[in-house]
Amino acid sequence: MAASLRICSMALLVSGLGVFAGCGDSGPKMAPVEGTVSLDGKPLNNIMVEFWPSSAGPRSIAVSDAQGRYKLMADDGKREGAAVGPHKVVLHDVSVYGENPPVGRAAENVDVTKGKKPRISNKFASPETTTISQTVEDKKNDLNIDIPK
Amino acid sequence: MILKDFTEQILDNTMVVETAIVQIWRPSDSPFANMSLFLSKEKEGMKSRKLGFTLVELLVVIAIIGVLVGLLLPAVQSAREAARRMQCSNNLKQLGLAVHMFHDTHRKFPYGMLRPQSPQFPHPELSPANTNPTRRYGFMHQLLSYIEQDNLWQRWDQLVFNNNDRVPATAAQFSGDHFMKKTVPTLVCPSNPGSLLSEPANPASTSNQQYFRTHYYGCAGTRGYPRGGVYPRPSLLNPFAPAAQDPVGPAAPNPGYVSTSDGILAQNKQYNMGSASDGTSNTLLLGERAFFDPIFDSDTVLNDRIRNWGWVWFAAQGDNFLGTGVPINFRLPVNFATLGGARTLLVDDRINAFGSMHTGGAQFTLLDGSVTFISQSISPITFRALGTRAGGEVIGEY
Repeated sequence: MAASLRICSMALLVSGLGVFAGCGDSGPKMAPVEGTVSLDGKPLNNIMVEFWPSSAGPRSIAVSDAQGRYKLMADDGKREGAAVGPHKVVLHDVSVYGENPPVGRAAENVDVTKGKKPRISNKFASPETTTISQTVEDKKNDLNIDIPK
Repeated sequence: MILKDFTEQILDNTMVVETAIVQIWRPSDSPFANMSLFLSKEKEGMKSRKLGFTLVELLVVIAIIGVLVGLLLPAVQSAREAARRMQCSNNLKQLGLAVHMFHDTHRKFPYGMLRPQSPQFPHPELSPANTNPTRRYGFMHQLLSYIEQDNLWQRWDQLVFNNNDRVPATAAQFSGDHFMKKTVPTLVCPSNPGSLLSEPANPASTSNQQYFRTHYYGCAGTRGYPRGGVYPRPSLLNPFAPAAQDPVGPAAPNPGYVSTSDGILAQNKQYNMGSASDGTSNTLLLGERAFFDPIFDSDTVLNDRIRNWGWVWFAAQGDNFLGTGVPINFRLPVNFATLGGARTLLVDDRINAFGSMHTGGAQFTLLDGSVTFISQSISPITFRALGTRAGGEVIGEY
C-alpha cells in the first residue's frame, strides 16, 4: 500500500514537471551562415553585415575580420546564423568609427567619423536601397558577398 | 511468557469489570441493553485505528498542492501582466486621441520636436540670435492640454526655457525642478521596470538634476535619433534625402545612418493627415521603449544607462521619438564587446529601438488612433515600412 502511494506521488510530481516542459520559444528556423566579404575580388575587413529577413525572423549581424570572413549571429548575440529564407543584405563600413563608441548625449553633435570616408557606397546601408540579397537555406550556408561597384 | 499471560489476564479482568459496570449502570430491560456489547466492540476497534496521517500521505498531499499551485501561479502572473498591458494600451489610446484632438484644433499634427538650433526653426523671432537659445518643446509638451494636464502646461515657461530647468524661478510653486520631475501617469507603462526618474544628470554638480522619463515616444519614421549629427542634404548618392533635413550644429554626416524625416513626426516640422499617403492604418504614430538592457547598462565604455534617455520635459531627439529601422525589442547583443566599430551603430540602434516589457513584442498606436500589439518576430522589413508615412510600400499581414 505504502509502495503504491509512493509511486502515485512520484507520478504526480513527474506529471507536474511535465506541465512546465516544452514552454520554450520556438521561433523561426535558423541556419548557420558564414562567408567572405569582398570588393573588386579583394577581401574587405571591418564591414558590418546585416541580414534582414523578408519574412518573420530576427535580423542577423556580423563584422568581417581581417580576411573578410564573417559569421552571422542574431542581433541578440545568442542564436547562431540567420532565419531560413530570403534576405536583404545591408552593409556598413565600420572602419570609419573609432575603436570605442562615442559616449552619451555629447555624441549628438560631434562628427563620429572624424572625417573618414567609407570604402563602400551608402546605398548598401539601408534595406530599402541595397542591391544585394541572399537566400539562407536550411543547411550550413557559405555565402560570399561581392560588393558591386 | 508468564508476563504475557499475566497481562492478558489483567486485560480480560478489566473487560469483565467494565462490562459489568455498564450492565449495572444500564439495566437489561432498557432499550439500550445490547449497547454494552456495541460499546466494548467500539473500544476494541479504537485500539487498532490509526490516528493522524502517515508520512507518505502527507507527502502526496503536499505534492498535489504543489502541482496545483504550480499550475495556478503562472496563470495569476500572466493575468497580472495582462492587466498591466491593458493599462498600457489605454495610455497609448489616450495619447492617440490627444494627437487627433490636437489635429482637430490646429489642422496639423504636433511638432515632433521644436528646437531652435536649426535653420528650419519656424519661429525666427525666438531664434538663438534672440534671447532664447534653449527654447525646446518635446512632443509630449504639446499634448499636455489634451491629456487633462492643462495646469501643467500653464506652468511651463514658454519664453525662457531655462526657467523650467534649473534656474530657480521667483515663486516657489513655479520651481523648474518640480516641473522636470513632474510625473504624468498617462506617460508611464506599468510593465517597465525601475524608477520613473533618470539618474542625476550630472552627479558632480550641486543641482543634481533628475528628469521624469516617458515610456511613450512618437514614431519619426525609420530613424529618429541619428548619432553624430547625421543630416545629409540631397545628393547624387542619396537623392531621396528629404530637403527638409535639419542640420544640427556643424556635424559631418555619419555614413552609417541617415536621419530620415519619413515618419509622421519630425523636428521643427508639422505634417497633417493628408501627408500620410501610406494610409493612416499603415503608419505608426506612437510606441513604447523598453528600459531594460543589461549590456547597455553594464558596458564600461559606454558609461551610460538606457534609463537616462527619455527626459520628456527636456527632450532632444533620443527623448522624443524612435525609429522603425531597428527591430522591435532590440537590445545590445551579449557579444557587444567583440563587435568593434559596429558598436557605434548598435548604440545608435538601441536608442532608436521600440520595445516593451510585455512578452514577445510591443504595443503601438497607429495614425488612425487604433492600438495594436506587434510581435517582435515580425519581418524587420515590414516593421520598417510601418514607420514611414509616404514610403509607398505594400504592407502585408503582420
